[in-house]
Amino acid sequence: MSAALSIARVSILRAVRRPSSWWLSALAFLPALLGGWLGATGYDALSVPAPLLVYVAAPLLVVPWVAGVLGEAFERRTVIYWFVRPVARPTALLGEWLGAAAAVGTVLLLGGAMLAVANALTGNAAISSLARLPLAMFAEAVALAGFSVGVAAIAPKHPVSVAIGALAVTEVALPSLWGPLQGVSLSRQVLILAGIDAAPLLSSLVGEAPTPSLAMALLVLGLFVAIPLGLAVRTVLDRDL
Amino acid sequence: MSAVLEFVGVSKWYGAVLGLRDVSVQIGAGITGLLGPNGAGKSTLLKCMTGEVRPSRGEVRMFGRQVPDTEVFRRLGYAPEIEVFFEELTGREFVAHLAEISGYGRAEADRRAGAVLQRVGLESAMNRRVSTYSKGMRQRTKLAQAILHEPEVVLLDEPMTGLDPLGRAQMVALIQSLGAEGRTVVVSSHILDEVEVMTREIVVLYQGQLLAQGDLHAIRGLIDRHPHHLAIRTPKPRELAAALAPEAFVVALRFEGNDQLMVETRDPDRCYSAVPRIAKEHGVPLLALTSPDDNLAAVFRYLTLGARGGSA
Repeated sequence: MSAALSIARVSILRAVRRPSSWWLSALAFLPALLGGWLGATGYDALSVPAPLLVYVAAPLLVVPWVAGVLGEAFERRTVIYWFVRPVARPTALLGEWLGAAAAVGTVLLLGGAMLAVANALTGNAAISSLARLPLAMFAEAVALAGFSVGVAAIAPKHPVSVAIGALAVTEVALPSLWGPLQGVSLSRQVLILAGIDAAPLLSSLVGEAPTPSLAMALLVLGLFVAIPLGLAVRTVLDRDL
Repeated sequence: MSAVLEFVGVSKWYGAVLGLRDVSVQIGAGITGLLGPNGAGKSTLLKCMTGEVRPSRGEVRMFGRQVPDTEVFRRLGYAPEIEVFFEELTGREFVAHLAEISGYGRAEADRRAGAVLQRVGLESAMNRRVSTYSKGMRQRTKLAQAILHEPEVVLLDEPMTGLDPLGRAQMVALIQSLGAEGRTVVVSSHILDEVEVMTREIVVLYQGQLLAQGDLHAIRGLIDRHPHHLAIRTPKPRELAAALAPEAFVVALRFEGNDQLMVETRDPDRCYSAVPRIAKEHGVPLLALTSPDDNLAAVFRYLTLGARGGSA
């Protein structure tokens, strides 16, 4: 476990020193700015900015940050420095996930918090509801980080394209086909966790979505991590570097 | 020789491309040079030792245990041929991080990182980011991370690449000191002279096959029995050919273009010293004197032809 924590700590340190991390972090705060402006001009501060943060900003921030960097480590073979040490290869993936989840989780938690504050300040929400959106964003960051680590290990040549392609399927393509498939959307489950009305825009065309449930939301988030990471563990155990 | 490292009938294919073909070799304590031209299979052999790649057939054992194995990794240090690190870290942070992964606590890892970076001559640069390091500094950093945990086996893939003459001399001294400490050190290179200054024990690979193993001088003797070539550029190649033809060291003469004479010889040392003298005696100016054989690929070609019973 100490090896995983060391990898996590170094992953955070490297992210902090990488200029691209700071540019990507700005994505998390743009919806809050939009929310503040909409709230100030009399519109709902959440209805557009929250889905924007959950559906667009979070994946665009997390996938290049995590999958891009780890994929490059596989491609350039720097992972070998870990893999010739007395630790199991999956430990390196665990460490990368922990580090990435802490880093992007903090950024998205702050982005969610700013949006929640903007919403509260414009009189659209009670102070007691402030915590749900940031915590939901943190949960989304943890899930997307695990998903990205898994994709990077499975497809290190083009991790960002593969991850974005997979998310396009789960977040857009499948939910557009049939109402009940709204359940597989990570973003929809995050909005449910945040307590935001997540009724799909296309429900009139593709049928009703499953009834929102916290348990279902947590299960989907868990599967988003477990499936790619599980496949990634098998891959790094079996594959030549 | 008691074997620390053992390859038993190891073959490796990358799809249709052959990396290693039925290599069986044992390597004991001390320094062993792993020689071969680019693409000979040296890196594949080292990667099989580290578990980076798995043999398609055969077994690799270290300390009697099949690789990859966690216990083996405790006793193994490896400097790969890649030139990249975690560029955002300083040299000290990078090495200390890998010490932590090797099982040391943070304080001990940092102490070891400082000590080993000092040993490889990076004391003044250890707190700079790795991204600012020169090629030579990167080679030293790779060596530092490979030996920080005092491993019994050290594998170094092309450790001289990018080093200036002074850096090479320092690297050779470091590698020799590792051998003198009783460690098993395997150094890969495609430059014969580079390895010659470090060790007499070599393993020669060519096109994925084990070509020779043993004492370098004995193998050199084998090489010297095959004809060498000498290319002489001169405006009077025919006059020079007539002057050289009676010499005993000349096996064959061949004209290439209007100004080049190719001499085939079994005694390159004598040939090198005699040609300028004979040219001067006959008033033939020499524009250039080169040997296309002064590279390892030619040496391996000779060995390959020798192994097949052919002639060069």
